[in-house]
Amino acid sequence: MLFEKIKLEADEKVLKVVHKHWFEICMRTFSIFITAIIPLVAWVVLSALLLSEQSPLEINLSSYLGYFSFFYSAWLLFNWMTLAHMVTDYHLDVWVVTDRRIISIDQQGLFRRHVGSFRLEKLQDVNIEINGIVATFLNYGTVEAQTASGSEEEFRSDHLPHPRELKALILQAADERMNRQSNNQHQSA
Amino acid sequence: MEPLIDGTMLTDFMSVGADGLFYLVTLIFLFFSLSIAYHWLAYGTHRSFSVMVLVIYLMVSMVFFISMAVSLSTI
Repeated sequence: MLFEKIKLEADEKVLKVVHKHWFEICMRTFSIFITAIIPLVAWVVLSALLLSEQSPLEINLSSYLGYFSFFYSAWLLFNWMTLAHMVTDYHLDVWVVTDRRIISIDQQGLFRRHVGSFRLEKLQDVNIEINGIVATFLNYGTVEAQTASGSEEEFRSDHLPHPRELKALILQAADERMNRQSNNQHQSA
Repeated sequence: MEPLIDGTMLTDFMSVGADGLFYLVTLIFLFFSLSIAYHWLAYGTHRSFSVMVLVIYLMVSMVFFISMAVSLSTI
């Protein structure tokens, strides 16, 4: 599973596992739902038009019902697979905050996966950005962790829930880590 | 003179297309499902949740497959 792949250090504690906000997946699910029902709506509308007395065409749609049923089932299966792909992408895109580091996992499609991590000692600042009415009311936004090493793009993720609480958690974990390290240095000196 | 295209040609073409599509969809579905299962079981955070998601995915997929197979048999 995920934590076996990450290979947490001895005594390393996972403080929080953050997935993207549910609103993100709801919006995409809705668009898939709309795509899925388009052929059904088209079939119903076409049937209604052909049944009306003004229709110039004399096509018996019921003789094609078997074909429609087959192709529509295939279409629904295709949409279902798209939804499964999207849910997988959503579930595997994750930020793991531990008491020693932040691990950012970005699943880009099924065969592209980026895993980045940095130690909390290298953390310089955490920026959050909440854009728009929906994001404000549902409390999600972009979180960006700035590190001393400079490469910041991989530690920026959008649609993360509760960005303020996440920022506070990361900064608190970083402070505790720094305090622990300075205490260890004093004791060894 | 017989017409070049009559009504039965379209249904014949769709019938052959439906057969081919069924096998193609089955192949794509198997490959895709194996990939999805690997990702959920390898990178998921909780095994029980991953297994539950995969079971739901396969069960709903089976409904569509059965619907396709039944429709194909009536064509």
